[in-house]
Parts: sequence; structure tokens; C-alpha cells
Amino acid sequence: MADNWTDRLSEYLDGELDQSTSVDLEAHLANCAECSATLEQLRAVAKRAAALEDRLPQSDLWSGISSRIKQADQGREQVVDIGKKAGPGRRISFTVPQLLAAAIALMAVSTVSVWLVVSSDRDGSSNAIAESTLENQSAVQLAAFDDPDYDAAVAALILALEAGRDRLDEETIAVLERSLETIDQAIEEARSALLADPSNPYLNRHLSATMHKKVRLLRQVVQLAFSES
Amino acid sequence: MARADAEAADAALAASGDATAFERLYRAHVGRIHSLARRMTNEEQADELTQDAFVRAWEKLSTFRGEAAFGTWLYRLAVNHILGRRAAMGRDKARLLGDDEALRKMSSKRETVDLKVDFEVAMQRLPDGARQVFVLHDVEGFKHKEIAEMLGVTEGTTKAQLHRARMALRQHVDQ
Repeated sequence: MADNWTDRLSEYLDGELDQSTSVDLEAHLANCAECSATLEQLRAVAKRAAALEDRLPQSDLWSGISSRIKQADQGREQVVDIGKKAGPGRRISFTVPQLLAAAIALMAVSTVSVWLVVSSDRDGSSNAIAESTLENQSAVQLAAFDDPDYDAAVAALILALEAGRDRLDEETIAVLERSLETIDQAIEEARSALLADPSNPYLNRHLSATMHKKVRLLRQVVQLAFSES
Repeated sequence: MARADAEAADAALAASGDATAFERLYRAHVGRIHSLARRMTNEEQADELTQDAFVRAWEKLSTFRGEAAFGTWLYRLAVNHILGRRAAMGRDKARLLGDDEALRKMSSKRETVDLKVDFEVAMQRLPDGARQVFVLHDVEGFKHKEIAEMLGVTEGTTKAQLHRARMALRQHVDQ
């Protein structure tokens, strides 16, 4: 039969009782076999719960998730694979021409890829960044200069790059840094020019393309630094 | 390579739109997220809640700053999503405060057949409110203060629910 102390046993077990009450309860436990037995049962329940193992869903849910995020991010930039994956423990080096090509491409006037903000985005609360062609411009609007998602993506990639820096050789890092410097300079110049001429379509496209290239370059290097196969 | 660094890299890649990196994160964490959803609800709802949690994580990746491990961030997001969904259904608080009778009936049962019932099945038989508190505290390791804030009730309520849930489950453990 339960007594007045029974309802305090879980708190005692979890160390939630004050010292005075704990002392009183311990005195009671010394003389109450039923409460002592109940306490051990509660301890066994808590121990069993903590030891439960996770298990996978009965069917793979990835395909459903994948289609939903694709639908939400229609047009979002696709990953561009620029190299072979490195083997475990191997220092990674991607070619200088690849990096230089990325930097040179920034300056190309003929670039037609632009960063765009899709109007009908995920849930109306955030913007998806999309790559599109000039022909599609009528359906979308140009990206804002201070897109927080873009800034967050760049910051996260730079942090990841720092974490994987020791897997890149010095020449690669040097070329990467020069390329990023070129990119940042191009972004800064485009932004400055746009302050004087905010509606200039070429400048808007150039800035968008440059921001795009920066993310793509960072992403490629992070992928290489952390790839395992 | 430290797993945490690799996960942080995958989170950064995913935040920049790399779905392949996000799939790696999904593979690493789906077991824990689905188990949480299943224990908080049931097998049928767990699939949908798990999918919702990962889609929401994809949408919110730009807010992941890396202060905590990605798994911790994802898990908290999933907990909030599951509780938010149930609250939106108008079920939580009333159940949390009103399942005393069901718990009393459950803990008073002494059928020997129940001794053989799987512990997780027995958990599923707990009333919703008691099950949520039990899962969050004893399975997932949250503190009463955190649980009370998440559920919008007092710590006294969560402590009482936890005790009643444990009492109801005593007969389903071997000592």
C-alpha cells in the first residue's frame, strides 16, 4: 500500500529533494520495505529508458525529404563537381588552373548566370537563391545585396574551410586565397558602382554572378577537403 | 578527421545548397530523430514528423552557427517541431493535465501478461502527457525546467507526470 512518501520517490531518485526531506525519506526507507522495493523499481525504469536504442524508420524517408526540398528550392544552384575525391588521409590538391579559371570567370562580361531570389519561396519567410538564365529574368527579381542567407552560407563555408585547412597543401591555399581576394574585390567594386547606379542591369547581374562564384568556389574546396572515398 | 568537423562541413555545404551533404546528415541522424518522433507520438505519425523536421532543418540551415554540434541543433529543432505540431492540434496541455485517471488505471493493472510486453510498447500505452514527459526526461535527458518551458506547464506538473509514468511502467522492467 502506498504511503505519503511514495509520491516523492522519483524526486528522491533524481536528486530533486532538498537535503532535509531527503534525510527524512531515507529514514523512512530504512523501515519501509515496500517503499524501498518501489524505489528500486523506479530506478530500473529510468535505467531501462536511458538505455533504449534508436532504430531507423521502417522505410527510407530520404526520397520524400529530397523531393520536398527540391520543390521548395526550385532552381537552387546545383552542386558542381570539379574533381576526383581524395582517398583517406591524402592531402588534397586541386589544380591551379581550376582556381584561376574560377577567378577569371568572375570578370567575364558574357556571364549569364545570375543569383536570383525566387518570389514563391519555401514558406514565405525566407528567400531561396537560384541560378537561372537571363531569359528567365522576367519571372523573378534580382537578389538583395545584403541577403542574410548568402552571408550565413559564406560564413559557414569559411569556417568549414578553416577546419579542413590542414588537408589542403600550401600552394592550393595560396591560390585559393588569391582567388578569394580577387572575388571580394570584384564584389566590393560592383557594390560601390551600384550605389551610384542602383538600377543598372549589368551591374546587378555582375554582382550576382560574382557572389555566386564565391559560394561555388568555397563549396568546391570544402567538398574536396572533407571528401572521403 | 574529427566527425564533428566533417558534420560541420556538411552543414556548411548544405546551407549553401548542397543536397548531397544534407543527405549525409540525414543518414547520420535519422535514427535518433525518428525514434524521438515515434516515442512522442506513434509509428504512423513518426514518419511524417521526421520528414517535416528534416525539411525544416534544411530551411533553417542558415541559422545554424556551429556553436553546438549539428546533431544537437537538429535534435532541438525536431523536439520543438514535434511539440509545436502537437500543440497546434490542441492536444497537449489538456492531456498533460487530464490523464491522471488513465495513469491510475494503467499502474493498477497487474496482469502477468504485461510483464512480457516490450518496454517501448508499454511506453506507447501511457497517456500522451505522461509519455511526453517520460520520453523527454528519462529517455532524452532533458531537465524538468526545460520540459516545463517546452510544454508550458509547471515543474510540479512535469515531476508528477514523470513519477506516475514510472510507476505505470514498473511492471515492464526486469530487475
